[in-house]
Amino acid sequence: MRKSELRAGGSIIGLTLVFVLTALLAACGGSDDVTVGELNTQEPTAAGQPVMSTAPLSQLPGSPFIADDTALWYTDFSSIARFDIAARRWTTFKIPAKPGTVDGMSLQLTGTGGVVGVATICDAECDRSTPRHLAVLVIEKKLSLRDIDNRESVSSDSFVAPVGRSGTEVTFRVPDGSRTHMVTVDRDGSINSTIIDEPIAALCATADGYVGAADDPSTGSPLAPRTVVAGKSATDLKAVGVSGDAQALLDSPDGTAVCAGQGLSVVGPGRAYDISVDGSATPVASDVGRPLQRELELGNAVDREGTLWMAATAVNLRRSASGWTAAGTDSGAVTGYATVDGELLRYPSDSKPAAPEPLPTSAPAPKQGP
Amino acid sequence: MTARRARAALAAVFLSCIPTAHLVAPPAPASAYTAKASQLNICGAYCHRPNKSNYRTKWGHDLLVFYVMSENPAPWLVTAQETCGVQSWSVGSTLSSRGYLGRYFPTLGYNTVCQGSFGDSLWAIGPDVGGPGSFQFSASTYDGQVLPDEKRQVGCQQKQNFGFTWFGCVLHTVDTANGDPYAQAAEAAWVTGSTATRIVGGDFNVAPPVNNGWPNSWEADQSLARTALLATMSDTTLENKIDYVFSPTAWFPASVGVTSCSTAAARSSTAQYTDHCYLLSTFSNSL
Repeated sequence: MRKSELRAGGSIIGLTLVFVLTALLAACGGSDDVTVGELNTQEPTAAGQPVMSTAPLSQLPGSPFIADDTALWYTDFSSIARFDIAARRWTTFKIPAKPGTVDGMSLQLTGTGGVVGVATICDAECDRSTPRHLAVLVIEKKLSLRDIDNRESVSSDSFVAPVGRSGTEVTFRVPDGSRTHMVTVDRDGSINSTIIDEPIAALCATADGYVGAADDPSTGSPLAPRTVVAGKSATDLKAVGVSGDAQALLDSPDGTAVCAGQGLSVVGPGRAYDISVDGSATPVASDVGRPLQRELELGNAVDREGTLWMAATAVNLRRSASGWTAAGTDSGAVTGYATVDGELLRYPSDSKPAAPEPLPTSAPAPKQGP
Repeated sequence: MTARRARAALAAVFLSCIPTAHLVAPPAPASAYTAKASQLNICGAYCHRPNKSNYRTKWGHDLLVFYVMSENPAPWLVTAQETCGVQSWSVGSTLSSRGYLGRYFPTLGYNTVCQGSFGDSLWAIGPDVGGPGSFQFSASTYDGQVLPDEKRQVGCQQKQNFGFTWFGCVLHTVDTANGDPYAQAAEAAWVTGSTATRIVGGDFNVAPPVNNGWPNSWEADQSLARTALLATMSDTTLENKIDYVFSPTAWFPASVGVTSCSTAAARSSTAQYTDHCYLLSTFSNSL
């Protein structure tokens, strides 16, 4: 046997080993090691052709998404798709987990052109009683999936919510009954995870750290009274006092605590306050003649008449003549990112078309992607 | 004999908070009578977590209200599981226009999606007799966590109308991963079995047969094979039947029908709201 044949044979054996190891890791549904997701890139979408007509994944209700001026990302819980706006090209990354085992996921941008996500992953095909654990996905040029070291168990009622970026770290919260998992992923790849024995109903990243609201589950009230919590780190939050009417509104069933603008806001009929990390509350000025829309915090894909695929925020705040309202997606408040006739838009925005009409209360059946 | 004494003791505890001294004789029932009972697990929290693969775009309590308000004649009893506290209140405020009174039995003091309590509800037409009674099942865990505040239970309310004094009951037994639903179903049969006139609706979390704990009872929906939808809204394949409505054969000698989401269209629309099918059972005394 000649040397070149030996080298070729060695290469084949080596490749086979790599393939087998990769397959074994993938079969584990995410192990303590980093696994690399399969990547596929489509041909560019032609100019004038609706970009969502070439979208590679199903667009399901509940699909998490994120976008900025350069790219749109979304997932069908089996793969993650990225649309490069300048190149008009879709790329998909196969999540290295068994089919049907990714229960939930939230995505956030890293600020360096990539995306980071936290997923709840079932130990077997997901149903209500399947044990779940948390894992972190990172895509820079390739996709990696890494279990959180202690494989924290989470319940089927849990979900992952994005918190935001502070400095070099991106934070997620995972509400889970009367406690909350906090997961922070730093740009250097380090993961910090902790469990807070309180239900954190909202947590916002600000320039000064984190501020949020914790429910008091001891009352059993349909809408629990809330305590404002804050800290330099999302994994080290302390209660802070809020004075006057802002706390009264937090404790009221009429008050909604949300991340809007640059931090925590509490909104109720006729009034709203911004709350800072030290607990000071500032009334939100608003001119009824110029309705102020504030958006955030969770994105979900919503289908509309087959022509508009959009990601609506979970909570949208509006000021109208009748006062402040906080509305979920079902009641028609829509902001965020959208494709209109195939063009990607971000709204509300000064340079973009006005926001679409509110969703019908009876939305059409979900549209499946190609 | 020991078992009989234990059952009597349990039933006494179960019914102890329901005053009976002021019971008046109900008017005589009509010679022919038919009762309907509605049952739906509305998936009030599990189906509405954002960024989840099984996310529903609509709330299950709206589907329940739609069905019940469409029924003519109205069901005597409506039972629902996985209701947030605010949903129970909301449904009750709507159904009150048809003469329903509601009872809410919390099983969790706090649920993240509900931002408050979470549990089972029943609504029944006509005046209540006393307060509600409930019997807490043997221990279970909650999604693998030790949460001692989870209180799986059978909850009942005594009613007086349609010519009868009767009990309406609701339950949601634990799933097999977190406890023994068969044991809890047997406990429910044991406790409620002490009443001769009762309708029990529930999500039993077990496929047929539930067990042999419901003798002399109609399982009106026994012809159904499946009542639970798969977890995802996009896949409306039916899973096993786990929802049931029972009533004594001595009270209702005939079971005359059952309705559930038997067509693909019904499943598809239902799956936008919840992962269970609406169940309507009809009982009659006409053989």
